Amino acid sequence: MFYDEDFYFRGEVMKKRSSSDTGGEKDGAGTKYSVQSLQNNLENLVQLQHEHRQRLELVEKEYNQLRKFKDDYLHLQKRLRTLPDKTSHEVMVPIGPLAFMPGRLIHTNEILVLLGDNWFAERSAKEAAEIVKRRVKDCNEKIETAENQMNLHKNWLEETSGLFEEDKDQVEIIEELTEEEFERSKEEHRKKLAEDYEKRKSSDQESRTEEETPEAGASTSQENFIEKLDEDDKKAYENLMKRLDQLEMEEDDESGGSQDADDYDRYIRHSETAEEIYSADDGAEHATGTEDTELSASGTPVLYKRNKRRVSWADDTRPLFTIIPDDNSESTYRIKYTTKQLSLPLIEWDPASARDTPEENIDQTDSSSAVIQSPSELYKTFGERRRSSLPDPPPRGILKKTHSSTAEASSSLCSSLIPTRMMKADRVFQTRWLMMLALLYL
Amino acid sequence: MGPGGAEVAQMQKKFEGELVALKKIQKDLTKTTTLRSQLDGQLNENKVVKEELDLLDMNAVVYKLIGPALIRQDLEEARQNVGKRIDYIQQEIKRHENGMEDLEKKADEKRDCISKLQQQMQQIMIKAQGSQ
Repeated sequence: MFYDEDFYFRGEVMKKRSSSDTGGEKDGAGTKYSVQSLQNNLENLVQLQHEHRQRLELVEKEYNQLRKFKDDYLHLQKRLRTLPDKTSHEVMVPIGPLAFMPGRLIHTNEILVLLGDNWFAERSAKEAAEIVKRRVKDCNEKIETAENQMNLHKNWLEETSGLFEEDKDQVEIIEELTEEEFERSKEEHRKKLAEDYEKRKSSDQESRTEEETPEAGASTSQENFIEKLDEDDKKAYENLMKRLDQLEMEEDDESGGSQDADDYDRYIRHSETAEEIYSADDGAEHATGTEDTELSASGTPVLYKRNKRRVSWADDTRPLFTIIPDDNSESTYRIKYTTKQLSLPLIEWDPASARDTPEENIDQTDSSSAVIQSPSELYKTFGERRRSSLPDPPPRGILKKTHSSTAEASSSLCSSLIPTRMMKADRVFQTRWLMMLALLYL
Repeated sequence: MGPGGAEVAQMQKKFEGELVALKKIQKDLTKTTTLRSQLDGQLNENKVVKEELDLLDMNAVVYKLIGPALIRQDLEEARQNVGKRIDYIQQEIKRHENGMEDLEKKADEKRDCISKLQQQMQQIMIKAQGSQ
């Protein structure tokens, strides 16, 4: 905040400088440059310098105060070391600002430390010394920042004071530009970037076919792949590529076009994700299992949005890489789940249905768990099972009622709340595992 | 010059009204800023207190200065109180910041109004002079 104001001020200064032409020139594009000597209109700079000096004074004051604090704390540390040497010290006690009287300092190891905000702590001399050490550390940090600020101000003032002494060799160049000219120059810049990008691409492609890198493999497979596609897919693919190029050029525009390697890698990865979209459509299998998900996750979300992909469970025959490995290795923690333990009251308990068909429902679900095709079927099958398996508890409230007295009510209430919450989390945990395992059977 | 003069007077009154409103908004803004910086200081102080309290062991004795009296407090209670105070101060800071944003927006709007009024007044002056 401190420096934002300064820079804002400076921006204003730049805007306010009125041009007194000592020589106007035009360049090829028709924009006007005016060259002036710096000596004109430096009053604003003087004002800015004044501001800087004021700030510098403030910071110096703060710095001196902090130095004083640090010295005080160091003295205090010394005194705290010697204080518990005796059980009572003979001292001259100040009464008011002008008088002392002899007295004793007792309870030499009991020190009330002000922690801040009217909080005190009773500490021994050693513990108080620790606190003082920490405060000295804080002080040092603040002193450092104050020093840095002071240096910044001082340097700025030095630099700008130098400006006043320079003679007519230093000039200021102001380019006057209208809105239209600005837009035009932006367009030209974009066009040049596009040409540059095309040139880079073609040169990269040439170098690609010569090298034996995995990227080269990707390009040849890319060409084969393009031939495999039929007309519509080809068009869509080219549109995709054009959009990608456009996006990359926009990025170049923003970043100044200095990321050749990154662009290149991204370009390759984008083409690979494009491949995957189309092969998924064809239903072909991919050898690279987990790489699929990674690439499609890292590939541009723009791709997916543009094509409005449709995901359907029936067509996709790719094996899902399971979260739980099927082997029985010792290293993995496996949680065994059996359907009989379910007692989730997700669907309202219907005593009628429970009484009527307890047996059938259980059998049905054991077999149906292998036939679940979509998430909604989960509810149908397991919901019914729940109805059947609920002779026990009806849905419970969150809070358990306690019978203890009010003095301990709070603590017991807290302790009773915690188990119910954990049990509730348990149920949620169970449903999640349920759904994951159901998906596994797909 | 008659009707022109009345218009000018009207515009001037409006102009002054807007100026007064802008000054008021700026005063509120500075007040809120100082309050917020004060709260910031309090927040830092309370953070330091919290750290120190956390470093105290279970048997440590804590007092609170309430008026002229040092009253003993329970350590856990003291920790909770300081935590709650920190939260409260943070909320207050947020509230003040939102207030500042609103005030700044209002101030900008007022400034725009004022500049428009100024332009209008200048035009009227020019017209009045032209018709003379």
